[in-house]
Amino acid sequence: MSRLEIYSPEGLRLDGRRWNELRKFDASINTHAHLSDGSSYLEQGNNKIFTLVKGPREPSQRSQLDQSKATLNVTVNITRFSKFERSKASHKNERRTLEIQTSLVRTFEKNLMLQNYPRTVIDIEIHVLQQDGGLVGSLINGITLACIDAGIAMYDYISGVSVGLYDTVPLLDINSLEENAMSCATLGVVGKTEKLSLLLVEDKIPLDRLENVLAIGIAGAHRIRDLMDQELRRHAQKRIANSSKK
Amino acid sequence: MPLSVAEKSYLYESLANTPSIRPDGRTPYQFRPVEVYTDFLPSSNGSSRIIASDGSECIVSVKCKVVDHTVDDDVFEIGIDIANERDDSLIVESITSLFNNVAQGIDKENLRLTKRYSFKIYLDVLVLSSFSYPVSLISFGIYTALNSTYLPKLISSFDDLEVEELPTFHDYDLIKLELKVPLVFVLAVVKDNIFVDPASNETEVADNGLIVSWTNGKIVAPIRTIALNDTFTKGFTPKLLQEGIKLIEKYANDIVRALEAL
Amino acid sequence: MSTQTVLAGRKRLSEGLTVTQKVFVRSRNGGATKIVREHYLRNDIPCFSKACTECSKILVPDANDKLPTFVLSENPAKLGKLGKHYVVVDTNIVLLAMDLLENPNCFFDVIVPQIVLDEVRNRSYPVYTRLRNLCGANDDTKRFIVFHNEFHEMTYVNRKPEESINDRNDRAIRKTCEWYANHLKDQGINIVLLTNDRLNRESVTKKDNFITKSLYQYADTLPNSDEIKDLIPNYDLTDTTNNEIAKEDLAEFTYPEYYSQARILGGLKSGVLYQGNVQISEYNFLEGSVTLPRFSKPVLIVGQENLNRAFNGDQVIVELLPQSEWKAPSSIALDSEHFDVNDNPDIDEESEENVNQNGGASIISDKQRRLLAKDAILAQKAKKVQPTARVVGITRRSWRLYVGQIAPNSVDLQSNGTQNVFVILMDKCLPKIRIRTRRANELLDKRIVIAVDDWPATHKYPLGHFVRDLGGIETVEAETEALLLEHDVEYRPFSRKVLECLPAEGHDWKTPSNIKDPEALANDPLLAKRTDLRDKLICSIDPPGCVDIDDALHAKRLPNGNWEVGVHIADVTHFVKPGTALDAEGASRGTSVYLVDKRIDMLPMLLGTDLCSLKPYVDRFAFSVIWELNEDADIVNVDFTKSVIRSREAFSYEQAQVRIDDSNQKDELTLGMRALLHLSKKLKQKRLDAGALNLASPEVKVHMDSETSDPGEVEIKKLLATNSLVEEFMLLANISVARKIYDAFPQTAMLRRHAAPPSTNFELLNEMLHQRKNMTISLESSKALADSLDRCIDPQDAYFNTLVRIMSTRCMMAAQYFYSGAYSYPDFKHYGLAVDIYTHFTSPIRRYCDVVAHRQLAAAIDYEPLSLMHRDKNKMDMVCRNINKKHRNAQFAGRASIEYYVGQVMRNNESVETGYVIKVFNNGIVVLVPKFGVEGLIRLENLADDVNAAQFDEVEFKLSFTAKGSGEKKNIHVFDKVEVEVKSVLDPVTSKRKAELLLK
Repeated sequence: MSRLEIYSPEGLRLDGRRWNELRKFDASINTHAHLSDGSSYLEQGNNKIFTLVKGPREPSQRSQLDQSKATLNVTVNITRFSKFERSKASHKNERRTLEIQTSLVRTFEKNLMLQNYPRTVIDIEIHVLQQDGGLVGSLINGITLACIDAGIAMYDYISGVSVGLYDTVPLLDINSLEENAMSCATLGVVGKTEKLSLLLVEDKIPLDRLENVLAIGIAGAHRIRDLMDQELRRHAQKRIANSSKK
Repeated sequence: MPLSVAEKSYLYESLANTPSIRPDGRTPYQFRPVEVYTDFLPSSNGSSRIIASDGSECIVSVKCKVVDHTVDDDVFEIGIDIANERDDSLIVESITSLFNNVAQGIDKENLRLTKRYSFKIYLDVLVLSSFSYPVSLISFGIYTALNSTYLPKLISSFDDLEVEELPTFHDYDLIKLELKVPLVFVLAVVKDNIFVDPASNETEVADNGLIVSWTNGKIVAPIRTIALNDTFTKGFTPKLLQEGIKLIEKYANDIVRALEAL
Repeated sequence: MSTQTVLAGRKRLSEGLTVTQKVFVRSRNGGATKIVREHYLRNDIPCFSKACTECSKILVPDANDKLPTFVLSENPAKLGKLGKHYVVVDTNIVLLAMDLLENPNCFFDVIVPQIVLDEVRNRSYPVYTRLRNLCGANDDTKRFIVFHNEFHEMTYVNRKPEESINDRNDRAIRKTCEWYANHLKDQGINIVLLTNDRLNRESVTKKDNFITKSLYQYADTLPNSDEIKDLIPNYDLTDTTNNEIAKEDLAEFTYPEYYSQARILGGLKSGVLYQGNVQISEYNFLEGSVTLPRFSKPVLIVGQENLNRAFNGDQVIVELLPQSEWKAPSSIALDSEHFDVNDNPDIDEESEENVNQNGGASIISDKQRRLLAKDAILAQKAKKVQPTARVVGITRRSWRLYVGQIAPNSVDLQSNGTQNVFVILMDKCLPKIRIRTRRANELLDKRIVIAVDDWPATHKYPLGHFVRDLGGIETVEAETEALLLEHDVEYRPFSRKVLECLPAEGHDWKTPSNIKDPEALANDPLLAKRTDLRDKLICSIDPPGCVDIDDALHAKRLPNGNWEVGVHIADVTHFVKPGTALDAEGASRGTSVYLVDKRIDMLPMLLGTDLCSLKPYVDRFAFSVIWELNEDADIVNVDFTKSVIRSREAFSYEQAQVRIDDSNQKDELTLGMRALLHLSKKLKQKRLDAGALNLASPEVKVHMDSETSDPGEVEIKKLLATNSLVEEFMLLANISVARKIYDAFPQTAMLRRHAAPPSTNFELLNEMLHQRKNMTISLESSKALADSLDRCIDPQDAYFNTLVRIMSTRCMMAAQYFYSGAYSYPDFKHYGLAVDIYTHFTSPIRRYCDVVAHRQLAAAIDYEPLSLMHRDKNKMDMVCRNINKKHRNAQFAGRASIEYYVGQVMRNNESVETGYVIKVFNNGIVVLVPKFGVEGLIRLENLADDVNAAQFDEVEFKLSFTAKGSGEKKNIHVFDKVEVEVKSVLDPVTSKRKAELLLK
């Protein structure tokens, strides 16, 4: 692994990007109108993710009923075929999946105006069809898009991206090859601000380098926010055009 | 949304009529339109996404692994995952067992690599949502996914029993898999009538359900009855079974043609 | 979005960036996984030509905000018909002729397409590293660049259906040439594609805008073509256009073909083939062995045919032979240089022996082979006959540059043209190499460097080419350089890049006199964390004339009656910061190398002998370990700190001894030294009680005549009590540091271990001892081993004990550096020192391990954060592998140097000396002469009149014969003390000087 040129002296990464370039980012919303109240399909690099938002709706269990605000549930279904090698075991109850779910709930609890929907639940159902590194960041983007599609009030976009640190060079939006070769951090950034609603660092990153890593991560997240914004506006325009035709 | 008693009764009567009247106006042998996309998961060897007109959706991925078939003869594995159902729920288990049964009918010779090694096919089905009994949908998904499957090309020799070789593969070339898996059809029985591809409201009033498998121009095992709902289940005459089989024999070819034309 | 058209399969993301997918199959261990990776194509990759006016507009800064520099000359060399041109190299050229590319007299302005770099990396990582270095040199002499053709949207090519990957890559290279040619058309610069692949050359037609040449054709056009052409590798059939080289007669000797990759992988998995490194026997170059984890003893490989072109050290795949062909390890000594001396380099005749003895072997099936493996394991437990195998594949060649000399009898003295000659290598475990040269006559009697290119099955000897001439045989310069090259020691002067990392003040660099001084603190904020220890009475004790003083010591009695003892180590890491070129150079050299007359430094002189060296009377930065020891030398407390010290005196061992012994000296410094000596004795006793070993090696020291620098006399090394004083405290410091860094970095601490020797290593020695002296060496524990060694005493011969220790040393495992994540704690044990954990900390000037340990300790005490480099297991693994190798090489180089000088000494004085028989063969005996530390084989021919009448008794290790000359009947046993005539002779065939021993 270490024999690959993760970042060549000419400044190019394994897949031909420069250090501060995002992967291909293709999003669409309202992809599953029949199934859900809000949905999105996201391709960030080779990550392919369906996100379905169901709710706000009446809880099926009374235990989920909160008088003051909506209860937010996130389930992440990482399919067994999402990586190159099919995994033998299901990812459903894996610790890592549960951790991701919890951190996603924490990230969005503060950003969705849950107090507007007391006594309801909002279920977010994510299906990861293919993954190629930086998964959690992509999940955040998928949720943001699906929640907007569902019309759930929120304070601002949250955009997610992973940044790796190769030696001293921070690399934006890493793919799975890069993820395996270095330590990395995942950021969830609120709108155009520098506020982080999520910071996941799963390996060691020297403190003196963290600032660099965060800076490029925030810049990247802002660009993702703009790309999401574009898609939403494009979609809205299409809808307006369609409805005015009728 | 559950139907009221009056609605159910109305529906039952019109379906039981001769000629029958289906709520969406279809003839008894008419299928609902489906949208199919294949090969949209590049990291799988084959894949398909199939969306029924009612929004039911199913995603199938085909992956392969090289196994020693002298040790493990089971070269075809199907995993079915229905969203919001536990892996051990009744519906998941019954559908899984049905398709394992269907898989018995495939010709494993096509997966043979060498005298010792075979490809093992992993079929993973993700049903995102289903408003009617999803078996047909899954079956079409599997069929199209396998039909779009390309497997690595073997470059080492076939005979490896005497001199043990590990199979080696071409670095880039993939070869289309020729493997036909039987199609599975669901039929609904209402009184003396039988319909293909029942919609969700139809299943709610059906007396009984019938599963018929078909491959290569003929009906094959498994053939099963299923209860499509909890309240209406009744028996039916063997004549209806024959009628159902005839119906499938007559129209299955058209289905295959449509699926392969993708 | 742009309206530009995009090729099929590509998706435009933004102006100048498109994405496509790369799909391939990864088959590893028989699996076959489809892999898909994104691949981005861009339009901002510059051509790096100074002549270009366009590319400067598209530049994008890198992560450090630096813009790329343009390297290719705007006015490149003009060559005949080629005109002004840049060269694009193909993969085969790089793999074949890396030496030529590095040659300072040819190849300038070279473009390396990325696809070539990738292919080179997959084929040979070392060559890749060299190529990368060449491309990164940045010094405007060679001007090599890497052009990322695979990421450039104009030069990326998709594989066509049915196109082989090689063809696709060749097409990508041609596309790159085409692009460059177009791009630089207006500047009048031509593009020459250099490839030895005829098909690739023929794919280029007149219509194309660039030229192709083979290496040979290109060399022909160079002004210094004669010189260069001689250096062109000798690759069989690679260049079919050159008829002279191509007319190889194919009816030559043939080796068995290697197995296919599929067969090898299958065989390894099912356990009928094995992988391991070949070790060629020191005494018989036609016998090798491979150590395999499954077998308790190495598996033998006997004969040229079975070795099947394996070099010493190659990683090979072997297959067991049928039981009927199993052999005992041969008791014959055989040198490559004296074997088949009369072979003609032009006609490789059939070898008389071993021809197709395994004709039937391939008929047995793998099932039978598996049974065979069981028999083999059983047979190893029994005696003598060993499972024997043959090589069926070579997974990694150990080929490097070799030093040798042309075999004079292979040269046609009349000819002045190009001829095939044999080169006999200095390493006697290797076969001779066939090279083609025009300068054969001129190169006779010279030490030359050659490279091995290929060993086709149809050639009895490997093919190579001449690289460099080192100078006349037996001249000091040639011999020294030869032995450095042979042991892979980097001895070139430090590069400018490395020297730039040194303090700009040079020798005028000063330690800040006041460490609280705000100005000094501003320059070096870490200064505040240093402890001022300039009040301590510190001194250093080293060999006389030592200039690189790594360590200094002090001791002081504390009010509570305990001792404060400090070990102060040169603070090298203050100057050598991780990630710098200086650090990289140190890491790659790994260690300083000490030869008899020369020292090859790991770090530049300025640091080693001045700024870091703990010289007396000046302030120096140090890394200090300070213990509180009680009267029994038990550690009460230990503290680590970076410090500033001032050594009061630099003693030699002898001076220190004199000062301590002089009872008139009562000053504090001397008192401290006495305390140190006293404590060190206690430490030593404790170590010995714990089972530390006292081993021996036949080390000698060569005294040089200081005026003529001719070697004067040879002396066996002597030890003083003060040697051991320093040694004990260094051990103590190393152990304390090891514990501390392991505590701080449980996964990546830099440590050193020494494994217990497996009992099989001692089998032969024990058998000999038992048979001859009725003694045994116990292997139960290091303590038992140490005690049993003490008991091996021959009352009549005081040297016998040392002899046994020398022979035991050779049975021990080598100590090794490792990172703590690589082994579990119980395996950290240092067997020889009998401690549970150990590292090297005390000589950072001359060992890289110590540099890493310093950094880790500095991080452990929160002095400064640890570089990621030393926190990453993979990187630590690479560091450890390298320094283990370099350490071993340095030892061998040192010994070889001594051997050479001893040879020079002996050359002047023939004498009769006492020797000991340490090995008995069927056709000779090996005798060790302690006085010179040399050992040599005495062949039976030189012992006996009638070779055939001699008898060899394997059980008793006895050779009986009728002595030459005297006619008296003699029995020679192992361990016998013999008188031998020692002289140094120059072997006429190999021109190697070696000790020749004759029984008196």
